[in-house]
Amino acid sequence: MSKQWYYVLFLLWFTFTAVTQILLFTNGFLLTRVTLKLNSSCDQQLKCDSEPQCENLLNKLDDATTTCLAPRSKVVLLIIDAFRYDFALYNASLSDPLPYQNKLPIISEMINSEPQNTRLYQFIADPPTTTMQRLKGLTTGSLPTFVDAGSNFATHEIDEDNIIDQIHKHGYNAVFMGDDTWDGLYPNRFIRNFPYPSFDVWDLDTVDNGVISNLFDEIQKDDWHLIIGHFLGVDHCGHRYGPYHNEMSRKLSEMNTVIRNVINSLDKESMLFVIGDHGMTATGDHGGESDNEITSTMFVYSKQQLTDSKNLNNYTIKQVDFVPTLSTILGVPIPFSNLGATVLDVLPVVKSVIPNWHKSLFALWANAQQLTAYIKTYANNTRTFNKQDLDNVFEDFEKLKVMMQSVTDEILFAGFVKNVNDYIKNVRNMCEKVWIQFDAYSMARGLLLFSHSIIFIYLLVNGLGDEKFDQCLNKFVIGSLYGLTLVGAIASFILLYFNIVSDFYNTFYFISGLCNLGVLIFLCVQNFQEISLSLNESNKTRKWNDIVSRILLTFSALMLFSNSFILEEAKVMLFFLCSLIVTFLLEFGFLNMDKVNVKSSVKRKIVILGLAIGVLIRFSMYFWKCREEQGCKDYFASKVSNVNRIEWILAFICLVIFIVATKIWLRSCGNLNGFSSTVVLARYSPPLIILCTIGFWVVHKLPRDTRIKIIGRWSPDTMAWIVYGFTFFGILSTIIKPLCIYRLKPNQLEVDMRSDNLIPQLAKHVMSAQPKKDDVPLVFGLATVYSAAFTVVAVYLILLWCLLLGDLVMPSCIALVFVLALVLVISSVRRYEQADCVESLFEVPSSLILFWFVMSIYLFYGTAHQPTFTNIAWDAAFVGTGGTLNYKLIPAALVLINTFGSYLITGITLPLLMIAPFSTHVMLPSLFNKKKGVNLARGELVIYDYDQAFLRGAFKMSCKYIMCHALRVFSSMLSSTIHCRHLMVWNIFAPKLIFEAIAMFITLVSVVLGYLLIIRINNKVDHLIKQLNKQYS
Amino acid sequence: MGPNELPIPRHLIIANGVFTVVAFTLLLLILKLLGVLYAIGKFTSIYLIIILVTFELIKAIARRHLFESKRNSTPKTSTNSFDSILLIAVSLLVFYVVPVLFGAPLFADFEETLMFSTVLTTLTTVQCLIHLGYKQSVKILLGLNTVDAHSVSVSSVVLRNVQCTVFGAWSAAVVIPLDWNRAWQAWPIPCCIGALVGHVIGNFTSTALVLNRRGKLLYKKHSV
Repeated sequence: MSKQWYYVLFLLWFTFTAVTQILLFTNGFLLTRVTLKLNSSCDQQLKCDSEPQCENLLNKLDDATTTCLAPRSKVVLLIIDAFRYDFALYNASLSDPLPYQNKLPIISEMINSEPQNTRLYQFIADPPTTTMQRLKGLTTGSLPTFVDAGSNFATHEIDEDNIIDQIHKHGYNAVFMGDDTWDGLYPNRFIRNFPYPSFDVWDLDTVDNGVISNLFDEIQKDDWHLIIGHFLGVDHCGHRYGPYHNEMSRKLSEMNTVIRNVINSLDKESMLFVIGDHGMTATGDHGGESDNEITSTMFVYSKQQLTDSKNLNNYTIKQVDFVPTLSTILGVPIPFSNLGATVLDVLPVVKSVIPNWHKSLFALWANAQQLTAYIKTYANNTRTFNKQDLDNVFEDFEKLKVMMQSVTDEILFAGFVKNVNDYIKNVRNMCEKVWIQFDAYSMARGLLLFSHSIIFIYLLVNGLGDEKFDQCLNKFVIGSLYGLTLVGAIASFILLYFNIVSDFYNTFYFISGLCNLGVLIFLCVQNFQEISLSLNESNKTRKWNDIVSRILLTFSALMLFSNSFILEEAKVMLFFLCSLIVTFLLEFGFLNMDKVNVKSSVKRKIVILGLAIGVLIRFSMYFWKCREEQGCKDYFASKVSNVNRIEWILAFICLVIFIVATKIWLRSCGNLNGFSSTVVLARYSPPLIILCTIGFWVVHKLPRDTRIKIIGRWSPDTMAWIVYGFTFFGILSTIIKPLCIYRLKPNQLEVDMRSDNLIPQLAKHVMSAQPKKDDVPLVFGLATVYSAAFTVVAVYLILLWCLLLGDLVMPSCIALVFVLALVLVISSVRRYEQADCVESLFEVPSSLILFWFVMSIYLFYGTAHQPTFTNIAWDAAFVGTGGTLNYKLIPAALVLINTFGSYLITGITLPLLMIAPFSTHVMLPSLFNKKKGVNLARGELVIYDYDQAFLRGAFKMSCKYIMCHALRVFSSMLSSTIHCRHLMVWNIFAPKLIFEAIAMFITLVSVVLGYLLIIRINNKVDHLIKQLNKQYS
Repeated sequence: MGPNELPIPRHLIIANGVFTVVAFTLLLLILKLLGVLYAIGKFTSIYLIIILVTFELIKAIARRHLFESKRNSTPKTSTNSFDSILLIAVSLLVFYVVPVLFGAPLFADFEETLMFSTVLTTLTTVQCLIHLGYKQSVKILLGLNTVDAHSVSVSSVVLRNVQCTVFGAWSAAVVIPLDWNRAWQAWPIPCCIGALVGHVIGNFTSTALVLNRRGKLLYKKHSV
């Protein structure tokens, strides 16, 4: 096996190690709450119709949890997704209300006309404020944990005890209509079920119209106890247009009509709940925990009078309080894992012989008992809670029990209610505090193994000389790395089999990581002398620009410990990029920073290029997205609903400039000649792709009716699929036939030489082996044979990314891609000037690797992303899929490419850093001085002559690049550990860690792919040259 | 080391360094005590520029007075007022554009950015012009001829000041994103102060280099 495959195997092993050790850490850090599959149940039913049963109600308090009273009322539950509290308020004095203000006058009308029957509350949701987590909270009464947040698009049946199950079990009937998320959560629980697709966020009306068309018919029937109607229009309107758009006022007015009609159609024994599952931000998003997102509404109207209340309105309740309240009203037991407190004020008063407060006390005590039982069971199953806290809770409960005995009248009862509510609140706080229980052991193992692996790989890659390194990376070492991984798998399987460990994966990750670390340490110890010598040497020869790079790298890792730097990371990365550009320029001798020997005309060009790069980077700043915490307003907030003509023109121009520039480049390289499938696709598909891209955007912006009028039923998604198809086949063909060259027969020579724009490259060493002049084979594009394949692949990927980013963000992406290209040119000039032999060109300066690394991070921010879940561009999932959810893989992949495209593109094009000096030297000779010792006239064919050094250099560069990312992931892991009780950990640090980890995975994969592509090209070039030699000698 | 440039006496460098360190530290302290330091980004602080220029002029005059009276071999620094003004203008523009590229607002903080640019120009370009004259300044700033960083000459001292000033301004930006909500975190206060501190450090380094042993050896080697 040749050396190059050892490199690939090592990279793959590195990938495996990094991924498993990150997973080892996150398995400890992002724990899920244990869901207990225990249910509450009714042992006895009390109808309370006849007197004797109810008179001794207070004697049965000890069995309150297992005793069910008769239903007090039937309930119509309307859920208006993203129903923020201020939407429900009515302020007659507003002369010019915003689109979301004063659109629900029915609520204030009812409060004023029937205050005894109406309640309005601020309804505080627990973060994360995503619909599925909220639905879980609304039906189980429990607190969702962080990890659940990720599974919004893969709905699972809820197996925890919940109110829908309770209703089903106790023979009551529930009807559901609306958001089909419910259908996934509670299949087969409803007597009638009308689900509508929720995934297409751009569709404001389907779900709502569906609900409205069924709702009133259902209310008229008399077999139900609970009707649930889940409206999505307001939420979708927020996502698509934001709360300040006229569509919002339309949707809210629609809701007003629905509420009014429902109130009119209710019979005497029913009540109406209108609740929101969460709020929305000023841009219409949700998911985080800002006040706007968590503050929702609960509006209650009952035909029967409600229990008297002192604080009628503007009262705040928690979302989990809804479940016990609804359970009490419907007369079913409170779900087992509920953490909420019954809201006594909304319980309807049923005429009966006993005073109402007896029933309230009964309900309240059932709630307290249930909660205590839950905590007791949970504490027995897991060691989540602090012993001291638990004892306090149980002690409090006993105290309450004693206190309860003395409750003999309504006034004493009011005091008791306060005590019970405090108790429930206490318990809930205790749960909130420790709910996310970190597995410190797993985290520590992950941190230690990951950091040690990075350090030792760094020592090996950086500390060993070329030959020594090749010696080290032999069959035995690679074999033992893989073998020990296998041993780890087997060992952990055996341990699992004998029940010594409970978790296979963590054990496997740990054992294999430990064994592999042993191999690395062994290698380092074996070569200790060599490593220490060379590190010492490199310390002496370090120059100022290396120091700047080191400062920047260190800082980019350290900044992850500070929440303000994470918030402002886009700014920091912009600053770093500019600093690196200035470093590159200063290397040309400005301010006397370096000794150089370049012409002043070249210097001038370099300065202009540097300025252009700076301007392009700065231009992308307008495309940053704002985080909720920053409290700023971004470019997109105002642009979502109405795109100006200027943006269209900009988007169009950017796309055209991009493909024209790449086409001119490839053509002048001579890589667009001939009829190989790769070349033909590279020539014709980019224009087609941008045509389809623009067509897709245009059609999508049209209102639905106009769209159907113009193009009929033909879906715009076809155009997206054309883009995907061309991208796929283009890349596939580049992998199969990576050489964009055209071999000319000698007799064709004269004809073709006349056409300009072609820089024919004579394969010189082929020629030297060839005595007869007229037999010289002419190969177009051989001088840029390596870079051309990368350029072609990059063009496809970037065009695909542009489509997914959308017309608003895409100009920034193109600008930054040009930055990448121009930096390659600038650095090539300097590297060539510094090189004293060809081999030294294969050592990529650390500042350039760092630039690529910083650029990968900045591209993420520059293309309107932020490491928060609220800011993920879910829109990308609809490009070409039209919101169908049959295959979740494709939408998921699209969102992934949209979000992490920056890491994908920088990772795959990483080998260009190595190739660039050769290609630029051929293509832009005016920038280079002639120099003895380094003859690059043959362009990238020189690489072929030194292919062993090239492949080794590319491998080392890949390792260094990965290590930069690994360093950041490590510091992100460490900062999450340190800040695990920080106020911001679930807002800032944990999402950052998750984004960094995914970015790391994408980087690892794309770097390996890029490296494989080099090997592929190199082998093909080898094949070609050998063939030519055979043919002409 | 520039052409025709002789090393200057040790004590002069030391005197120069001590003067700068003391004067700049005092200046910063007095501004802080008067409570006007954080107004450094406003046009009202333009007097600061005059003070800074005065410092440099004092140093230059003192040097010429003490040094050139003894040796006449030092070339007269050529003064070309039009070119010098042009150089200052270009430098102002560069120091305006560069922070904007680094992320400062384009026009929103025009006053602040311009003040930053003025402070930096004073500490770099104007300083060069005062001590070295137009031609030498251009050569040094554009790197047309190289200066030995370890030698003890006017140009090496000036150059070190320029480098340290720029580095100081650059590195001081680190405090801007922090969420401490302090008055001094506003652009361009940290960067201006960073530039001033960097300038002091540059002078300090020159003095320290002369004072330590290697500096002495170098000095002897050149001065014999």
